[in-house]
Formats: sequence, C-alpha cells, structure tokens
Amino acid sequence: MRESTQLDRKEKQTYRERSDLQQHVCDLCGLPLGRSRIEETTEGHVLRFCCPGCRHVFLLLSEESGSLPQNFKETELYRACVESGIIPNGRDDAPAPSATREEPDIPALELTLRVEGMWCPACGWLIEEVLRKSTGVLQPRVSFLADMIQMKYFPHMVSPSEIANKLSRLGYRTSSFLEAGRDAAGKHDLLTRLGVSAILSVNVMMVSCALYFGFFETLSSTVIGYFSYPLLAMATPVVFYGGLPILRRAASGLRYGVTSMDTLISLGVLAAYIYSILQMARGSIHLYFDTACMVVTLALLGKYIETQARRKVSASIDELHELASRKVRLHSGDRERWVSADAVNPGACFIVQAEERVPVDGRIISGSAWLDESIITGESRPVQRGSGDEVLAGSLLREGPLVLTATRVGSESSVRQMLTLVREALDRKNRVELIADRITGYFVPAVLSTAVIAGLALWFAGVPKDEILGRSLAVLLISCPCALGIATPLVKVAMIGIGRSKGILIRDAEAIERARDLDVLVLDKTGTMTEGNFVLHEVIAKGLSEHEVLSCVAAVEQESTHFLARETVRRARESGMEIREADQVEEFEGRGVKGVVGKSEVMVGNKGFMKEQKVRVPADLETTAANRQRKGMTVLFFAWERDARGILVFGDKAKAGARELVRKLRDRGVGVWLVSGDAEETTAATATLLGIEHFRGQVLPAEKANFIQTLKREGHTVGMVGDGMNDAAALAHADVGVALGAGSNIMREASDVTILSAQPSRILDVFDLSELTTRTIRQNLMFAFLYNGMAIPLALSGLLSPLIAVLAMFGSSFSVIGNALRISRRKKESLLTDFAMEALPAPGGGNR
Amino acid sequence: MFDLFAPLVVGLAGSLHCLGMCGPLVVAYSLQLQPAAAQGVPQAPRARSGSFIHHLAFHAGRLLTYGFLGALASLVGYAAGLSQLFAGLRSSVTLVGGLLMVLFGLALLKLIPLPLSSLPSLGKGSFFGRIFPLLFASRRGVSKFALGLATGFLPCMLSWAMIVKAATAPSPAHGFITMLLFGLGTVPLLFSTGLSASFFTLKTRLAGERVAACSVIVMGLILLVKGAKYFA
Repeated sequence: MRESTQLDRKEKQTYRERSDLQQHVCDLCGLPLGRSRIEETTEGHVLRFCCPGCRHVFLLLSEESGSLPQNFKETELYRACVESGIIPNGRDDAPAPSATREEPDIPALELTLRVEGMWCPACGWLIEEVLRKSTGVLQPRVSFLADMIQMKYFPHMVSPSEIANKLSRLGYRTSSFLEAGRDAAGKHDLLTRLGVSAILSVNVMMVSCALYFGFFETLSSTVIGYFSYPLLAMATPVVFYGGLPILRRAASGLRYGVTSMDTLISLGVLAAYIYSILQMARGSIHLYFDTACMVVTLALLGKYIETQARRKVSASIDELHELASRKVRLHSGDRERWVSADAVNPGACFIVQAEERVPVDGRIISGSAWLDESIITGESRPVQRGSGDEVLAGSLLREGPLVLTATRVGSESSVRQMLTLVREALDRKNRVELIADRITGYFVPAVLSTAVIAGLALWFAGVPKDEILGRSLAVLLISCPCALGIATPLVKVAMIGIGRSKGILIRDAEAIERARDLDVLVLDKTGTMTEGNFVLHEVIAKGLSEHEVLSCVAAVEQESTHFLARETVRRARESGMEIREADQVEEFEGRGVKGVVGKSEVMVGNKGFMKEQKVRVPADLETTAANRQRKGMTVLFFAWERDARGILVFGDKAKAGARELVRKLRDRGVGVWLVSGDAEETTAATATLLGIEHFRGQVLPAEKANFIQTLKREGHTVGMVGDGMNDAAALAHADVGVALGAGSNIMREASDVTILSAQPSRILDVFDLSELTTRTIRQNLMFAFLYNGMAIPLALSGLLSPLIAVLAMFGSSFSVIGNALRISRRKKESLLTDFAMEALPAPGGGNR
Repeated sequence: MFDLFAPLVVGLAGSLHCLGMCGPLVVAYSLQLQPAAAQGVPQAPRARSGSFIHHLAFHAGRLLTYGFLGALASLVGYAAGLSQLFAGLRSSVTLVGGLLMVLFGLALLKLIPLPLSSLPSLGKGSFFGRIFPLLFASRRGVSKFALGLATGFLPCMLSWAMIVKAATAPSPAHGFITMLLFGLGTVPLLFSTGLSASFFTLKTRLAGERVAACSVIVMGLILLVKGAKYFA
C-alpha cells in the first residue's frame, strides 16, 4: 500500500514536471492552446492542437508527406511553412515558455515567499497559473492555508523582487518569511475596509428599511426619490473602497481566465449597484443599494474571520519559521556579536542566556541547565542537559548561561528539517483534495451559467425584473465553492499544526488518516519500549576477576558502535582500568565482535554468535545465562581460545508509560507485537512485564521488515514503531511507520510520522489525531456539499434573498472552519493527559 | 443587413486563424507545383499564373462546399419551421443554434475545452486520408477544385458556427449566401498565404481569432434573444 502511494506520488510529480515543460501552443498553427484538450498520440509523442481543424490538417499533411506525424517537422513542407511565416518558428513574439529550460547548466534557486491576501483556494490557483506562465519560474506551488508559495527560479532571468512585483500587481502582498511584523499591515487594511463598510452599510440599511416598511408613506414619491441620493453616496464607497480587494482580485482572475468566489461576489455586487443606478435614473425607488452594501460588508467580515481562523490553525507552523530565523550571540575571544542563524558556521561558539531560546542546534561546551523543549517535542517537563549533550534549536533555557558549539546549521538544522517536512506534508495533496480541487474548478463557471440560464428562464416566464435580479444574485452568492475548497486542507493544516506542537512531525498526512485503521502495531523493544540505556549489571565468570574480563572484552568492543559495546567500554573506563589494544577486529552486525588481544582471539557476542564461531559453551554457563534472560536481562557471552569464559549481564529499564500504552492499545482493539534483536528469553520477559502477548526475539534488522510483510500478507493493517535507526526498512514497509524519540535526527526518510519525544504514550496521540482528522474531514465535506446542494434550488425558487444567500454561504464556510478549529483547540486540552511518570524498573535491571 | 455583414466579418477576422490551420494546406499543394519551376527555366511566369488558377480552383471548391453546407443546414431549419406539428420548433432551433454558437465561440476563445474533441481522425485509411495525398500530388486545376471541396468539410469551429447560423436563416438561399460570404471573407488572406503570413505576428493572429470568436458569440447571443422573442 505504501509502495503504491509512493509510486503515485512519483507519477504525479513527473506529470507536474512534464506539464511544466510542455509548450502551451498548438503544434500546427502555433497559437496558444488555452483550455483546448485536443491531443493526438503517435508512438509515444503527444501532440497538442488548439482546435479539431488543426488536428486534422496536421494528420492529413503528415499523411501526405508520407511520414509519421512526429517527423512532420523534418519535412520540406514544414520548413516552407515556417519560412513563409505560416507556422511560427518560436523566435518572433511567440510566448516562448520553453526558453527557460534550454539552459540546464545554470542552477535554479529555491524561493519561498509568504503571500498575504489570498482569500480562497482559487487565489492560489491564480497565482500558480500566473507564475507558471512567467519566464524563469519553475514549479510554482502555492499553499493557500499556509499563505506560502514555493518555487524555483533562474536568477539570470528573473529576480525575486520581479516575482514579488508581479504578484503585487495581482493584488497580493508578498514578504519573506524572515521579516517580522508581516501580518500587521494586511490585517489593518482589511479591518479598516471592514469598519468603513460596516458603518456605511448600517446607515444604508436603516434608510432602506424605513422605505420598505412604509415609514415615509405620507411623503410624495418625489420626496422619497430624494432619499436615493444619500443611499448612492453611501453605497459608492462601500462598493468601491470596501469592495476594492474583491473587485481587483476578480478582475485579475478574469484576465487569467480563473473564476473564483470573488468573481461571483463582484458580479453580484456590481449587478445590484448598476441596476440600482439605472433604476434611479428612471425615477424608480426600488433600489438594491442595501443589498450591494451588505454583500460587501459580509464578505469582508467573513474574510476577516476566516483569516483569523487560518492564522490560528497554522500558528504552530509559523512558530517554526520564527524559530528558524533567530539571532545568534556568537562568542569569539572575549567579544560577543549577533549574527543571523543562517550565517553561523558549524563549530562556531555561542552563548545562550537564561530565558532565551537556543538559536541553532549545538553541543554544550560548558555549563549545565534545565531546558524546556516543549516547543519542539511537546513535552512540557524540562530536561536537564550537561556538558557534551546535544541541544536542539528552539529549546528554552530555564537558567543559564550555556556555552555551546554549533553542530548543524542552515538547511541541516533541526528546525529547517522540520520545516521542510511540514512543507512537504502541506504540499502533498491527498485524493480527496484533488477531487475537491477539480470540482471547484468547474463549479464557478457552472454556477455562472446556472444563474444566467435561470435568469433567462425567469424572464421568459414573465417574472418581474426585480425578482429575476434578486434570484440570480442569490444563486451567484450562495454557490461559492469555498467551503468545499477548504474542507479538507484546513483540517490537514490543523492536524499537521497540532501534531507539530505536540512534537509529532507528520511527513505523510495520508498515513495519519490510515493510522485509525491499524489493527496490529509492532513495537521495537530497545529504545522504544525500554530506555535503551543498558547498564552492565553483572559479570559472571569462573575464576576471573571483573577487571581481567573487562580489560580484554573492552579491547575488542572499543571499535564497535553497538550500545552494549559502548556500555562495556564506558564501564571499563569508569573503573579506571587501562584498556588493552586489539588487532584484526571484526564486527558481525547484531551478533557480536571478535578480535585479537595479545596473542589470543577474543570473541564477544550472543549465543548464536558463539555457536557460529564454534565456541564451546559449558552447560552450567548456558543455564545461568538463560536464567538471567528470563528475568528480562540481556546477556553477552565472551570467549577466548574457543572457550566461553563467562557472561556479561545487562539490564534495561522499561520506559515510563510503556505498560499503559499497551493497555490502551488493547482497549482500542489493536494487537501489539514486541520485536527485538535480543534473545528470545529477554524479549519474552520484557513482553510479560509490559503485558504484551505476542513477541519475537532474535530478529535481525532485515528480518523485521520481513516480519511486517508477513503480518500484512495475513491481512493486517500494520503499524510499526521503532527508533528509526536500525529499523528503517521495517518502518518503510509498515502501513504507518512511526519513529519514536528521534531527537535531533528528524529527517527519517522511512517514517511517515516522527515523534520527537521518546515517550511511548505519544503513540496514542497519533491514533487520536488520526481519528479526529478523519472524522472532521468527513464532517466538513458533508457540511460543504449539504450547503451548496440545498441552497442552489432554494435560491432559484426565490425563497432566499441575496442577503440570506451571503449569510448562508459564509455559514457553510464557518461551519467548516469551526470544525477544523475544534481540532486546534484540542491542543490545549492535550489529546491525552500525560501518564504518571512512575518508572517501571525491569526485573533485575534498573539499578547500577 | 447585419445577418449578411456578420459572416463576412467573421470570415475576415477568422482567416487570421485559418492562416495557421489551412495555410499549410495551401503551401502543401503550392510546393507540388514548384518543382517544375525549379527544374526548368528560372521562375517561369507561366508557373505563377498556373498556380493562380490552382488557387482560384481551390477557393472556388471550398466556397462551394461552404455554400452547399449552408443551404443544407438552412433547409433543415426551414423544414422544421414549415411543419405545423412542431409549432414553436422554429424558435427552439434558433435558441439551440444561439446556444451552440456561444459554445463554439467560447471554444474558439479556448475558454472551454471543446467537447467531443476526440472525433475519429481523418488520418490513415479514411476517405479523406486516401483522397488528400492524391489531390495534392496531381497538378491539374480540377484536382485543386476537388481539394477545395474536401477542405470545406474539415472540422473547423468557425465554419461550424457559421453553419449553425445558416441553419437559422429564413431560406436555403439565405443559408447559401451566409456561408458563401463567410468563405469569401477568408479568401483574401488565404489567397495570398505566403505573402500575408509574414505580415502578421502571432499576436495579431491571436487577436483576429478572438475577434472572430467574439463575433460568433455576439451572433449567438442575438439568436438567443430572437429565439426568446418567439417564445414570448
């Protein structure tokens, strides 16, 4: 399943690239293709034509010249046509979209801009369309909900400021993500327009209502006619000042052949306004100024609320941008200077004071402190970090100061990686969104024609003109597909946002939607369900001192990066002994190490490794080992001269909340498996301790992936939780792969979901998030379809006035927005309260 | 008056579009005529007047097809109007015709994808596919007349729109004239294909196509209003 979605993704991408590359002109006459979809495929070549005529002439001519269509361009005829100028050669004033692709040597640069003033998804389509058509810009991708455009551009053809200018001509303000205070201006502008419109509209409404209800009955109609002038005077600024952003967007949309909600509103408002003026000129007092005013005001109000909501939903994504653009207090010699986070080189030394956030990833050189990592991992509990520890950018220093050295900067830094991840997830459209997009694209033209046809029909039916205008307006206004357009993406953004703030990075939003269907969850033991900090608990050897054993064993283990080896070496160093030198060290992944110390060959490894190396293991030693393993401990054998000399016994602690997790998973009806590279007995003991029925020990990393596949073949939907280090393959094979406790290594290609915190209880959050998201998306789609489906017939029948139509339209958008916001609010309540932190010591393990 | 003037305008403006589409056809048979000039005496004036006759034959054939189609279409419309059984059908024809023309116009403007764009091709094997190469190859004037006749049947949105317009004409004669005028409008540019093509930039051609499309839409709208009046 996962493979197939990846494939789809790839296909989609190549499709996008292809459509970027394609020439948007007819293959015969060279005129732009527009929306024409006429294609002819011959031997893999796709030829595009602007009209059926061109297609047929092309076919006839290629037939005539006796060559295949794609060779047509090599014929004498084609040359003659180009020479005489009938077929454009692409060199004159043809819009040459392919010019940018001809210089692949010059690298395209990435550009990410923040856009203000996108009102509904159609704005995003418009921007994409315009950028796609401009020279020097490649693969523009607009994320409406994140107010963000990403693109590539060729610096020699276009500059970022030119791109920004182009967008501002369309009516969108752009800013770099690094600029501060970017929202203020746009918000202020909208608020002013809203205020002015609202005050004037209320006055217009007052006068109009008085007229409707016959307040001025006693006055002659000429006198009543005088009221029209103040109405006109008040309505004009509302329509042309308050409504300016709407009108402008509608106009620029039309220029590029994109219709949107703005088109509908503008049409409605202008129709009402112009009709009223015409009526005024004829001395009628049946005017629609009030409708025009209220539509503008409501539209502005709706947009204001929607903008606020969007901001709230994507707030935690914005947080990341802020984290990524902090200043660093560099420390060189005895001087301090501030530089931007981007200008820091790895290895640079910097200082963080108390109550400051760590600006870039670093390692502590001196000092130790309590750090609040909640903004990154979602854990509110402060953690203590000391010299030599890694610290993530964004951590808040509770007490200071700390001196750190920068480790990963620029695009490798944890914050940037998180941003990349979030952007990818935002960018990736799921199936439902693609369908909704397609529907909305056709929706507006369909609505327009419905309104026109309905208007004509009513006219023939002899309905008075006032009535026709009213009903057509109602249809236009009520059928805005906005709710449909934002139903899914808004929830997705909310989900990604909350996930982020809880330290859950979602790479694949669809995987999250799948998570609720999981019926088997495979948990990795070491590092996932247990602390992964193995402590050398006991050295059992006949007739040898611990000192003798360790000096030999540590010698070969020095070279290994395995956590048991590291613990052994640490222990040896701790007891202050001198570790001997080893030669010809050879490591066998997941099994053991051997090497030559002094003159004898030393081997350290598990039981299987001993058998493999044909080492004699005394029966009593084996019994002792089995005993320890049954208690949940990990045992390593060591041997020299082909004789097993004894065992090292390691203990690991089960993580806090691990047991609780298993219980809750079982309550949800999810089967739990524990897998480990450890001995069968050790795994069994841990499984029993955690209350897990199914387990499997002695599984090599590669076998974990096979195991997942076996489960899948049995018809299960399988999730896998691992630390992401040595179980990447298994994570990739699972339907949902979760990397737990990623810490600083965020870019885990294999996992769909990365949990930064190491707490097992977070896994339940993934399930909760999945449940919540899927439910909300379904509800939203229902809302959106319901409103549009019901409202159009009602409006046609004349039951809804234009005013109610506007209200209903925003009603549908708001129910969708409100529903999505509900998810965001969960953030504060926390999806699940954190478990009590009682540590569950594994039997025999725990104390050093 | 407008009824006759409009097709001419559509033809004139539209022929900027035709230039791209039918132009290659004209060039194709002109090329076949050239070798004689190239082989023999340098640029014999004879060859030119020869090709003039060929061009004349081609366009005559094309116009005849157009006229024929127009007459046929209006005959269908006329028949519908005659029948007393379908009172009001005449106005329906007008309404449907108007709607169709608006659609064609929009398709010409490329604002909407043309439905049924995947009509069977005229490529290999079909009648047209077989006959065109023969007509191209022949150097007799008659063959160019036949080529023109065939060209008239090529699916072209402009001609379709005009055929629809002709269908609403009051009589077959009117229909014939409508289409003939449309065809005549396209002649000047196509006649001097080689010369005119180099004059017009792509932008001009696009503009011409758009003017034609807009005229078609306007004509369609006028038909719609007319049809509506019948109803009222």
